[in-house]
Amino acid sequence: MAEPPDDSALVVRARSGDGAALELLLSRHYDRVAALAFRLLGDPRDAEDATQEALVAIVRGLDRFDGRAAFSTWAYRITTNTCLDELRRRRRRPETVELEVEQLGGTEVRTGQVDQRLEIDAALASLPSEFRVAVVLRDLCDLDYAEIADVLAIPAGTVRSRIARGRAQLADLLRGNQDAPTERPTEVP
Amino acid sequence: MTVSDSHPPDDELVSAVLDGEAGEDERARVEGDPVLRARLEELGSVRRAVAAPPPPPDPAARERAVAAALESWAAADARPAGAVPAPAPPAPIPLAARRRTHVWIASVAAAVVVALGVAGGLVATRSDGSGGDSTDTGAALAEADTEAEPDDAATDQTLAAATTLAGGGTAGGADAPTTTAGGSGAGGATTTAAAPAFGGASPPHFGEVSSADELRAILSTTERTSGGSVGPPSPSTSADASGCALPGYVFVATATWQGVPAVVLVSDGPPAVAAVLRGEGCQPLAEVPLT
Repeated sequence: MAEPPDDSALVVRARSGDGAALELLLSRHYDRVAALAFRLLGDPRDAEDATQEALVAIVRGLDRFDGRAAFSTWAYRITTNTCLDELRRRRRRPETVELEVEQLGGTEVRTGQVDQRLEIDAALASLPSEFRVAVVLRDLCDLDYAEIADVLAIPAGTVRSRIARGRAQLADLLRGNQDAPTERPTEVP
Repeated sequence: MTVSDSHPPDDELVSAVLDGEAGEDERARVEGDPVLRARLEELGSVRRAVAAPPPPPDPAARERAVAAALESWAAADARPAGAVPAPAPPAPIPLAARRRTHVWIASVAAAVVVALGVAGGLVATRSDGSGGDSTDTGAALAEADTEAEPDDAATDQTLAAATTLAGGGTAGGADAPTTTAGGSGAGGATTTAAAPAFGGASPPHFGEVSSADELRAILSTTERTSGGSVGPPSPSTSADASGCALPGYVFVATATWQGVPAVVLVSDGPPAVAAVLRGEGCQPLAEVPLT
């Protein structure tokens, strides 16, 4: 079986008009983009919309991808910006969280896992977005500080500080001494 | 409760150690301090919780998102001005609407015709080109070429041969199955007038294909069958049958890919640079580079 082409090769082919290469590239990164959107937005439906919006933005910006960073990092940047835009929009229309068990794991009886998911989802939702983004890019997307600094266009020292503060707040929340947050994440003014 | 924005100053150090972003001396400091080690463990738990994958996305949402992105890509205003020209029109032209014959596709289909002929007891034409009295299939296939460039000699040539090949259904000889193309030229074209491509029959089937090499072999064999060609599948057997409309690719056949029913699409050459296999619902199964 032939080795699957790497992202760079797929980008080159997509730019030259190869629709299958582009589709493979998007399919390959879809789960990560969707996971990032979900963690940043906290709502499956919003995350679904943001993921689609991010994929469209990725496609439209493909020619601006210069290859200096990994394609995944570039995709994360676009997704992050898309989600931050959504959070800003959400500030103008706050809604309550409606995390449904079905959305978090289907109908299987997996109470423990679902509870854990709800806990971390709720805790993340309560973080200021600047902390949440930094923590999620580090822990979920596995970007290093320099990559996160590049994605967010902030100094690496600020990344380090935001991650530490975000984790500290999450630790407080997950320790069980918090009230359940009732608002979906919103962008910090 | 209110979560304080303040945090122990050492959290930044511990967090950096956790991420492998701290220096040697910083790591030593954390490891040598029981309080900091405990904090390291606590923040490590937080990191694992965040790193746990969220619920898997809905497959339908995935399809919608990818399709929307591809649609955007295919739109003319989404193509960058400096992009290398695409081998095929960028717009997502439904496969069913594709009529233009391409030489590569023609030769792929020609191999299918040959294979079907062999399998079904049919034979190709004799070297003298007298093998057939009917050009139904070939004529049908050539019908799809009516929109081909009139000066596309290669296409014309292969189409002429395709007519001969397909028309050889009742002949017994197979000693020189592919040699009549060059000579027939326009003559072949004169025999191609009537029926629709594939006559509404089932699309060609490559049979069981278990590996990329095997698929390449089928396709390369096809290319070696130079001089033979058929047109693209008809509307009734292309997009409908494949269920996949993929910009830059053309549906050529069905197959059983590693036990899974699949459709085979090839990039819209020439030259064809890749073939893709799609399963039910157009789900990607495999991609096979051809160059």
